[in-house]
Amino acid sequence: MVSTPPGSTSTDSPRPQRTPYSREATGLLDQIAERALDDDYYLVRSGRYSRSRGTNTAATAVVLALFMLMVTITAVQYAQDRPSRSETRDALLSDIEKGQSNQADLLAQAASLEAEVDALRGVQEKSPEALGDELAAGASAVTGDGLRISIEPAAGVAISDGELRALVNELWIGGAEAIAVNGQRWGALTSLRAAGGAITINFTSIGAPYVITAIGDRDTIRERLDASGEDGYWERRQSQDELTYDVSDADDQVLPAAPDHRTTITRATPVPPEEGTS
Amino acid sequence: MIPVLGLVVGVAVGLVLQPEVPVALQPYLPIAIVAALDAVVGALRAVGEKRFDDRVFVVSFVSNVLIAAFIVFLGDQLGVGSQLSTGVLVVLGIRIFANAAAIRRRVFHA
Repeated sequence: MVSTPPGSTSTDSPRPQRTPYSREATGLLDQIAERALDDDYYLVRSGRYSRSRGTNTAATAVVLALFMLMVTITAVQYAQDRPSRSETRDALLSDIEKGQSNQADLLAQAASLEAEVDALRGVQEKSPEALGDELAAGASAVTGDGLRISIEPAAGVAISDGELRALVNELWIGGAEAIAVNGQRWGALTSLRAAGGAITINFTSIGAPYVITAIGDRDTIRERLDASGEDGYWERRQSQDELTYDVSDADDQVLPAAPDHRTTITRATPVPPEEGTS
Repeated sequence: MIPVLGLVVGVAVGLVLQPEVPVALQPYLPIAIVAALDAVVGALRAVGEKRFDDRVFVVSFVSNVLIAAFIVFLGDQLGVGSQLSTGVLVVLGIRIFANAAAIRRRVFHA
């Protein structure tokens, strides 16, 4: 029934029919390519199986049906899985939103409890010095006239934390007394940094558009923005259609207090005056 | 004619019944399909070379599918499932391309 398989190296037995392209392959991959067609197809059969050469048979049909069934099942399952994948994504997104609103709730709760504690301690009768310290540290909400700077990047344009920091820095130099970025007040311990692709201030992520509100002398701040080149920098980017930059006067702005954890000092203690002056 | 009928029946059954593949078997389906594709392309080449043998086709199809699935299963158990899948895909891919090239040579004489 079986003649010598084509891989055999024996020379005395007659070789079965080989494909004209076939030769003794050397490497493993060559061998795979050379023997791509199953050796059994080359066998010349006699007897019972000699007439199984036809393609028009039920066995072929059954196997092809099986093949198409597998392909179809996989395709159908893939098509069905796709919506469930986007459902997972939506669920994760809503989880994130839920977590963020939860965090905001907890922060608000903490703030109100803090206020309650303050009230119970009777510290509401603060000395003028303490009130001034709180104002300077950003620990209390303030109101006043100043400037409102809005930066709205075009789609696909990123504003780095360093660029925003430089701008805020110039505001301080120009005489700003209180600054908030997207409603996050700049406190004594506030940092503005990039974290995981988002800009984080007071450990709260903010996104575009960026609105910086500052209370202070408008004229000196504007002068400083102009002299430092910040105005020029942002206007240049605006002229390249990367963002819209706008500085406008704003009256009676209300800036919230910075969160307690950004104005409360636990480790540092004041140096006694006699040592500090030496 | 009968083989074409088989193709149509396979697609129809898959679309109408939409049988649920057990989760345990799902990772092996894609590689089994590639193995089956190898058998089918090989059969096509054999048809062109007038060597086709439905018995060889059936045996090579079934054994290809089972062996490919078994290798991936074994790899999963050994913790090298993806590497073994890659190996299987490389070998089957070479065979598919070589057979397709042989068909191309025969059909287009190029």
